[in-house]
Amino acid sequence: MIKWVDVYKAFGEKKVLDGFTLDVHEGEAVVIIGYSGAGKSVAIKHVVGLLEPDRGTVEVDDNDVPTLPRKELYELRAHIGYVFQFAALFDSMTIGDNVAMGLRKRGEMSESDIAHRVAEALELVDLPDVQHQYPAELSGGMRKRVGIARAVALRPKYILYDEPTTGLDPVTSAVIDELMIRMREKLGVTSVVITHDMRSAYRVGSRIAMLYDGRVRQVGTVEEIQHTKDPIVRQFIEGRATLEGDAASLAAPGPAFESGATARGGGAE
Amino acid sequence: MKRGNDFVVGLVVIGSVVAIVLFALWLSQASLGSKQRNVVARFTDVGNAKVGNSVVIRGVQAGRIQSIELEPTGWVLVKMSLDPDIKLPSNPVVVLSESSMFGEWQATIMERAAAPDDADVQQQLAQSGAVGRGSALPGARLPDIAQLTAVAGRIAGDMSRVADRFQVAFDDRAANELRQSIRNFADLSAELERTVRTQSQGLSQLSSDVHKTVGTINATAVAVQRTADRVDSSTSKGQIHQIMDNVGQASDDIKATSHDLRNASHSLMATQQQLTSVLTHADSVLGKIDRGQGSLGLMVNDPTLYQNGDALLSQMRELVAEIRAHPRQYLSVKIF
Amino acid sequence: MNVIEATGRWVRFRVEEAGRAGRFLEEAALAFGSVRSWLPNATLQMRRLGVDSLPIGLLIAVFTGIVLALLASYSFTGAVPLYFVGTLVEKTITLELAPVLTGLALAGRVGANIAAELGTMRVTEQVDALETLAYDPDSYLVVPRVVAGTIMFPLIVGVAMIVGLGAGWLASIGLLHLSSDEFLKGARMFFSTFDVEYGLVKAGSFGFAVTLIGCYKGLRARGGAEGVGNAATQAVVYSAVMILVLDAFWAMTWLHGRS
Repeated sequence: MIKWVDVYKAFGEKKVLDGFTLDVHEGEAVVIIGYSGAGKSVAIKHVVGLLEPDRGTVEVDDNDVPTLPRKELYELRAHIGYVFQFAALFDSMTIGDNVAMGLRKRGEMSESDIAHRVAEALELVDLPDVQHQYPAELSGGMRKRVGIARAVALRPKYILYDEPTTGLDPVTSAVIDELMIRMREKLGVTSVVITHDMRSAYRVGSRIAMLYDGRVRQVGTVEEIQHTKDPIVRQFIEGRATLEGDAASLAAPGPAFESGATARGGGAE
Repeated sequence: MKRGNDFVVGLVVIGSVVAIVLFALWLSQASLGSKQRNVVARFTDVGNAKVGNSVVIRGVQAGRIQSIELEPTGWVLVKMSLDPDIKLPSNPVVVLSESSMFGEWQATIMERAAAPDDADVQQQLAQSGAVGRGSALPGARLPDIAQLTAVAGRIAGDMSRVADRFQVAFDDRAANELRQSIRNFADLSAELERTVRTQSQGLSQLSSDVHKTVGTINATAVAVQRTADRVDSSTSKGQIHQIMDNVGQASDDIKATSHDLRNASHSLMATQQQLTSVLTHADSVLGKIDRGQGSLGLMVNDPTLYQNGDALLSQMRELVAEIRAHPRQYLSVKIF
Repeated sequence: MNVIEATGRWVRFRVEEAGRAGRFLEEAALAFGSVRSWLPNATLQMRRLGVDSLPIGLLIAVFTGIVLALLASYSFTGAVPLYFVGTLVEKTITLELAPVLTGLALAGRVGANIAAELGTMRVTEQVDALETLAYDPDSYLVVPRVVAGTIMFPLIVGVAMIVGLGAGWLASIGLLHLSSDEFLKGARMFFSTFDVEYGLVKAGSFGFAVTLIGCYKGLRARGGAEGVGNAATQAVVYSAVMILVLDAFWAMTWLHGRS
C-alpha cells in the first residue's frame, strides 16, 4: 500500500504539492491525471525517495520513506519499479545490460539466471531481439518498452509509470496500455500511472485521481470521473480550452476529444 | 571489452610507474643492482658537506657521499659509496673542500703525500689517522674563506683600538702594539693566500683573480710591516723620511691592490668608492707626515692628523667587516 | 535597502552552495567505503580519463621541453654557461610545468567530459533511474571517476616529466649544440627526487579536484542541453582555478621553507 499523507513540497518559491493525500491499495492501478507541471512526477518521485517532502509523510508498506535509512531505502527501491518518462536507459550499455542492471545489483542471482530473466522481461514487452543493441538504435516507443522491461525484470510489487504513452503514436500507445494491463492482471503488480492521455487513463486505471493546485481535486473510479460534476475535472477530461466553452467536441467521452487531449499532453512535463 | 580495459590500464599503470621510478633514480644517479664499494673517513668537522655530494679522485667523479654520522666519541664519520672498479690511491686520505661558489662541497680522495701542505690540514689528518688505523681513512677539511675574513675583521678591530692610542700619545708601547697588529695582519694575509692556494690546488673553479688579489694584499702587508718596524725604531732614531718613503710605496701597493680588486669586482660600485676614499685618506695622511718636519711629535700634536689616521683604520675595518659579511660578493666574482 | 537584500541573498546562496558541496563531499567519502560497488567501474574510468588523456599530456610535454630549452639558452646568453639549460629544464618541468600545464589541459578534457556525461545522465533522469535500481550514484558514478583521476593524473604527469626532459635534451643537442653530457650535468646538478615527488603529489591533488568538480557540476546540472553546457563550462573554469589555487597551496605549505 502506498500512502501520501498531507504532503507539501516547494522548489524555491514555487509550491508544487500543497497537501497532497492519496492511497493506493494492493492490486489497484491508480491513474494520476493533471496539467503539465502540476507536480504528478514530483508526487511519485517521493515514493522511491528521489525527493523528500517539506512536510507530511509518504508511506510504502508502512515504511515512512523520507526517514528511512539509506540501506533500507535501497531495499525498498528493489520492490518498486519506476518507468521514466523518456525511459532513462543508460546509453552506454546494451539493452540487455540495461535490463539486467537491477538484478546484478541485487547480487542474488547467477549470471545465467539473470540472462534468462532479461530475455523473459524483453519477451513480455514484445522486444525479444534487441538485447545486443544500444538505446540510441531504438525508437522512442521501443525505448519506453525497454524501460518497462527494466522495471519488470525485478519482479516488483509496485510499478510507477511516468507518462508511459506521452509522445507516442496511438497504436504504440495502445500497445503500451495493453502491456500495463497485462502486468497487473498477469503479475498482480500494483501500479501508479501518470498520464494526461485520457484514453489511456480510462483503459488502464481502476481508479483515477486528478491533481490540481498541489492537491487531489477528485478521486474515483473511471465511471465516477467520467460523470463528474466538478467543472475543472470536466474541463480537463473533455479537453476544453475554457471552463465553460466547448472545445474539442462532445459532452460524453469518446475518441474524438481524446486525441485532442493527447496532443495537448504531448509536451514534456 | 571489460577485460581489454583492465589490460590496457594495467599496462599503462605498471609501465609509467616503472618509467617514473627509473627516471628519478637515473637523474639522481643512484645505482641499482651493481655492488657499490663503501669507504669511510673520519673528520673532526665536515664543514658544509652534505649527503649526495660528489666524491672525486684525481679530478674525476668516482661516487657520492652516502651518509654523515656523528660518533659518540666526537668524530664525524662520512660514508662514501664508490664505483666498485675504482682503485684508491695508496695511503689515501680524504679532504673536504668547496667545489663551487654555491656552497657545494666535495670529498677528494688523495694520496697522503699530495694533501695540502697546510699546518692545520696536516694536523687534522694526523689526528684522525691516529684514532683508528684501518677502520676509517683520515680526513681533513679545508677552511673556507668566510672564516679567514672573520679573523681579519677581528685584527682590524685591534688595529682600530691601537689607533685610539694615537689620541693619547704615540709612545713605544703604542708603536709596539701597532707593529704587532700589522704583523698579525701580515700573517693573516699570508694565510689567506696560502688557503687560496691550497683550495685552488684541487679546485680549478676558484678564480685566479682572487688568487692574484690576495697575493698583492700579502705583498702590501709585508711592506706595511716593514714600515711598522721602522716606525718602531724611529721613536728613538727619528728616521722618519725613510719611513715615509716606505709608507708611500706601501700606499702604491694598496692602490694597485685596489685596482686589482676593482678589476675583479667591477659590479660593486659602492665598494670601489669606499676603497678610493680609504686610499685618498691614506695619501693625505702620508702627505702631511711627509710635508711635516718628519717628526713624530708633530704627528702626535696635530689632531687632524691622528683623526685622519683613525678614520683610515676604521674604514679599513669596515671594509674588512663588509668582506666578512658578504665574502661571496668580493671573492666569487667569476662564479661560473 | 535593495543593496542590503541583494547582499543578504548573495551570502545565503554562497552559504547554501558551500553546504551542498560539503554534503556532496561527505557523501562521496562515505561511498568510497563500499569498494565493491565502485571498483568494477574504476578501470573503465582510468582508461577513459587517464590512458586516453596520455597523448595530449605528452604532446604538451614535448613542446614545453623544447621551448624551455630555447628560452633558457636565450636568457643565459653569455652570462651563464649553457649546461644550466639542463638545470632549468629539469627544475621547471618536474616542479611546475608538467603538473600544471598537463593539469590545465586535463581540466578541459576530463572535467568537461565528466560534467557533460553526468549532466546528460542527470537531465535525462538516468541518475534517478540508477537510484531506483538501488544504485548509489556517489559510489557508482562519482567515486570511480575521482579514484581514476587521482591515480591517473600523477602517472600522466610523471610520463610527461620524462618526455618533457627528453624533448628539452634533444632540443639542446639539436638546436643549441650543447653536448649530451653537458645537458645531463646541468640536469643532475640540482636534481633531487623531491622534485619528482612534489610534482606527482601536486598532480594527484589536481586529479582529485578536477574529477570531483566535474562530478559535482555534472550531477547538479538542471534543464536540458543548456544546463549540460553550463555544467561543462563551470566544471572547466572551476577546475582551472582550483588547479592554480592548489598549486599556490602546495608551494606555500610544502615547498616554502625547504632550503
